[in-house]
Amino acid sequence: MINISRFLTTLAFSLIVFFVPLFLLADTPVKIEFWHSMAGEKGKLLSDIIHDFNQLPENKNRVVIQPQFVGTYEDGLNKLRTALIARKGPHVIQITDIGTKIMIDSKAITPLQDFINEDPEFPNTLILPAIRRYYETDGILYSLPFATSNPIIYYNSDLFQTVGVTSPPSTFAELEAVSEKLTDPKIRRAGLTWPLHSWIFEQFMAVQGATLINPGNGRQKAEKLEANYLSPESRRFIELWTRMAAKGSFANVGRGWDPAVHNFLAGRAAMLITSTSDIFEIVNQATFKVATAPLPGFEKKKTGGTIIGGNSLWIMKDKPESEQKQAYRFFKYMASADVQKRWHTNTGYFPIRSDVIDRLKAEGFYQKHPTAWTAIEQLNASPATHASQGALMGVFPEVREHVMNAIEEALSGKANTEEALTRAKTKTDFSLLRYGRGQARQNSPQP
Amino acid sequence: MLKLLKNREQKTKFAATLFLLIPAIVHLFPILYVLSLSMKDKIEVFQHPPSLIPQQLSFANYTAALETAPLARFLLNSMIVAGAMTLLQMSTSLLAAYALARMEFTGRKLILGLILATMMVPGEITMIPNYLTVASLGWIDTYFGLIAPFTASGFGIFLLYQFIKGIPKEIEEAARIDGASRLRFLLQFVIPLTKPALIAFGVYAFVSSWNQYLWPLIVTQSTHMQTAQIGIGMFRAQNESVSWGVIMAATVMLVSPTILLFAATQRQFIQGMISSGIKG
Repeated sequence: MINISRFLTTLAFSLIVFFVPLFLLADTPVKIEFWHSMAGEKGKLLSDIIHDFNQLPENKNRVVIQPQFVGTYEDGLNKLRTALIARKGPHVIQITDIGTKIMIDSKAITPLQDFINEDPEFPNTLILPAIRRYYETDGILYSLPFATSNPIIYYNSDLFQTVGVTSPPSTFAELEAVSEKLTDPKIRRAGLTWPLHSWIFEQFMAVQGATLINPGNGRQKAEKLEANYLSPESRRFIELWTRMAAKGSFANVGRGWDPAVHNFLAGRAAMLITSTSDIFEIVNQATFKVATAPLPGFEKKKTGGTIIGGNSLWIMKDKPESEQKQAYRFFKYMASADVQKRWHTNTGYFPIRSDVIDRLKAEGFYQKHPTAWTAIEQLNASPATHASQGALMGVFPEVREHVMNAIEEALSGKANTEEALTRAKTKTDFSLLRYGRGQARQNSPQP
Repeated sequence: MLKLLKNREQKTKFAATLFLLIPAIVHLFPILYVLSLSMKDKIEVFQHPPSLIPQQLSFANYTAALETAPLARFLLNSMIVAGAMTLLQMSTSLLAAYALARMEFTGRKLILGLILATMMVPGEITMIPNYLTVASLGWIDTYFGLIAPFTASGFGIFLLYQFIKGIPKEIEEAARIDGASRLRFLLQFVIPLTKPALIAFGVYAFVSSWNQYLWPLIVTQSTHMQTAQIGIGMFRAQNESVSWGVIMAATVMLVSPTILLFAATQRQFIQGMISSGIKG
């Protein structure tokens, strides 16, 4: 017995003697946890970019950014919510565009603006205004826009030539006519496809200059918000969609982003409307020549513009200030011209800086990759209105569900446009009301 | 062909096999298609009409998958976590079921009722309380944290309880008279007699812990602690076209252990399912 306890004491003592100096001497780097949702090749690219940051001479043995993949954007938000309760959140998290309002209202973040105000070096003036507008509220930039994109038309230009279509459609009427011309039921080819997603609906509203919710797309002070689904812009888009689907010139391939892309790549749809974020992937994988065009409006004269989509990076508030500052240094690196160029030219998301675009233009990058230019042109043409700024609401994920259900009802013929949109509006209005009440309760002083 | 079969019994058997072959092919098809896609290159994946047999067998997708994510580590983690959960659930269920089925003590019915009640509670509800407990124990991002909340199972206890109740009391009485302790009776009689149910439950427990997604996602904080299910997610990018070949290759590597396990134990699995149904 004595032997055992003596042995244990000696062991414990020697362990302490051995390890404590190691802890004291070792230059333990500050660990910055970064939760992200980039999978596949983009995930690999992101890891490489982070690795390079960690290897910079000024960071070696001082700061380590630790990326962790946290599943989809929704998974990431769920993980964050749980972790925040136990104060186990990350330093930095990547959040989807529509999570912006949720993050601001959570009050768990430090606005990026706080750091920018103290740092004259931040490339404030270089960030493209159209991108900045989305993530900015009342002049405060809350997060760092990182991966941004917008929707464009991808089309099979070989097929356009065979069929004799000279230019891509630029109005709703042309879209319908061209789609019909490209449709060939014998080989089961439709003229057009896009993912059954609320995002498409939101974009076609914005391109017509209509807001998704009123007033001001949730970007101005208001007592009550309500959906703008019963506007003429909304109706005529859903009517166009259902009409084309009924005629077979539009291939309804259901929810999810992939099926539409695959139908296009397999030659079962001549045109595809989806995000630019895949542009190089699609061009590489296609066995035909792919060309791109901006999203068509209702009429030739554009009344609106597309909204940016993608994600941004947020700094969490509950970490020590020194660590938040390191996170901000990492943000500056992510916003640097080199990283932005690398991200853009390898993915199809566009850069957030105007100087990167200018440089690539001078280098002739867009002459070699004309397909990548469409999105940037469209981005810069987007007017500074609430409509093309995109909606801001804390219940965006569930609102998207309401919209998609309505679209499915309309497409399947279970309801007409009017009924489907009315139902979606009622549900959306209720969600908005409930969220507004919850916010008011949280913000009112406790008795 | 039919003439070769001698008697009626063989004929029925042959017809039954033929008949069952149809659903078998239907069920096998997705797995075969996954296997086939995993060997195709990027362009062939999208070829229309699709083919089941790849033009050439290539393992490029497998190497690409192994390069993108530490799949071996994910597999190891899943094995450790699912293996530990299964063994722990099997042993706690067996002990609890035996006590509830065979021992007389006050509150027995109440405890059984409470255990049954846990089967009605959806797992998602316990997620946050579990997380807080695990966090306060400092087990975030450890195997303990991954395993601890899933060491007991209401379903397992109920299944084995039904099974043990079916063992004739006389056997136990005889064993006790001959001097066997309760533990000895449990080890030498209960385990062999409930083997089908125990294995069936074990397979069920293994598959459900193997398939866990949300809990491992929430409780891990570093890549080397993540499990295979999250690993598959790493290939499945959102809002973009994905390299299906690579995803399928990763899927093949990550699902084969469960398929092999089921193939090895399916006889017991089916037997356990049938007998628990009859006796319940």
